[in-house]
Amino acid sequence: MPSAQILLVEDSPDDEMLMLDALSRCGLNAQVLVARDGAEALDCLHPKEDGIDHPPPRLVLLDLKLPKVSGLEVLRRLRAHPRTKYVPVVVLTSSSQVEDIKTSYDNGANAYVRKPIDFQQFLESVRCLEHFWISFNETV
Amino acid sequence: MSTLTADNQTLQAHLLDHAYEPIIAWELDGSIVYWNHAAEELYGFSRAQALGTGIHQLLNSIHPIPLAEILAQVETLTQWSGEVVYHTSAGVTLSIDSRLLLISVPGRAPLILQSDSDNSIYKQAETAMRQVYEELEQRVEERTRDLASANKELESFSYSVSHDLRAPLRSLQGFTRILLLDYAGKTLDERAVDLMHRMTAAVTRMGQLIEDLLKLSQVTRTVIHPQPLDLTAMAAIIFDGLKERDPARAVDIRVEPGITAVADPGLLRAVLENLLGNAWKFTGKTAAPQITVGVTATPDSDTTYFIQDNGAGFDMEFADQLFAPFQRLHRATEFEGTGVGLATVQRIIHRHGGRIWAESSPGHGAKFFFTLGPASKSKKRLPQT
Repeated sequence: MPSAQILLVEDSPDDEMLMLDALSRCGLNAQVLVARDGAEALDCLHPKEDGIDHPPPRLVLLDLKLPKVSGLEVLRRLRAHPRTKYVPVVVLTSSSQVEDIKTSYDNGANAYVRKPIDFQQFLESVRCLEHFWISFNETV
Repeated sequence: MSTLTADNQTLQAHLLDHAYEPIIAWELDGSIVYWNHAAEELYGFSRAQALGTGIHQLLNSIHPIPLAEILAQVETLTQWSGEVVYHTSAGVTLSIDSRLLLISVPGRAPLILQSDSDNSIYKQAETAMRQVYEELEQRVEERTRDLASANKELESFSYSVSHDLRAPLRSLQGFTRILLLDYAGKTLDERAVDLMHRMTAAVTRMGQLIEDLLKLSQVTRTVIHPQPLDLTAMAAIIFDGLKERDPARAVDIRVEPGITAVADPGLLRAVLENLLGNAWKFTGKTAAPQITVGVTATPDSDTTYFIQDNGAGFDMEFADQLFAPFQRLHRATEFEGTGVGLATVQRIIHRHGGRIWAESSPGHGAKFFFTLGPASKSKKRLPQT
């Protein structure tokens, strides 16, 4: 596999581990690349010209609260770039703030997953992601 | 004993000179013909300086109305009184209550008798008082502003604290779950599994507490958008949710048809979710549980909403603790809860300008009443379809 199928942008190592665990538990065994802040995510999404054509990830899981460049800013730049304009983005949010979710949609997010405290609930959310993943892969 | 006669001029002159108040006499053109000792003292001009001089020039008078009008009034009504500003020989400004009286003296032009009372001290006191009052008012305003900003800071602090507190809880909960999923019955024996379950339960409780605190802080921050609401429908939806979560329970639910209100939909929904959820919870150990939702008239308002249950109830002695955050009237082992729900409800009701109270006795259920302030109009029935 030349490049990651899923880009997970998450600064908390615990949340990263839980997400990876949940993904594999739900049978979503895609190759996952992890970026730990917004700047790193943008580097992965828009790599410097090196002559090699890296295809963009097929799905971005994007935490909103990120160091350096915020999740929303990553989303905006991602949507502004022709390379990543149509990459599906699922926003990960720990807040139940309606505004956060609304702003994400306004900026071009395709779906959002709340990170609940309960892991079982989280698994259910990730399972919804799986359906999203399958439906999207069928259309590609 | 002989009475003093009025024509004893020496005596009269002494009496006038002995008075505390300035007494002056002048002709209609202003020239002073009499100037007593008190006038000398107050205005700082000797009798020699004053006599024959125009009074208005001497004292640099400032009258409340044009002098011509004062003189006209004196000539027609024979008297005038008012507040005049005078300046002393030392240049001090005095605010004087002046009384003028026109008298005719045989054999000469009419005279104006003037008697003055210095109220500068009162004026100064009044100004000082007004200054103190203004200062006080400004200080109150400043303090109110400080308080409001401190309050706001505290709210955003509590919000971000409870927000950030959830992340480590999520890790704890997640890792414990993974341990249970992958190792229960293998490397983890029954006791270890039990301990893990207790840990997850504790984490879940703390998570719920944080969630409730967040809601409480959001209630204060949210802007209210009141609109007409169908409370009967809202209650039905909430009851459906409760039944779905707890299908084994059979509760006799009676919701009066056509209950309406004007309130913020999200916030009022939170109110009903809490109150109906409580009724549902506290009838959990009742043989034939019953919950009634309706509207009634109370001294507070013609439109007082109520939620009545026949559940556990509480002792009215502790009624004042009911709406304080973290106050619980039941043991956690009897009925679970964080004690934040009713605090949230009360805050929402208060923000709508209403009031909430309850009647109960242990074992005989509880009845919660609330109003939504003067803004909510009386009991309207929705058209039946």
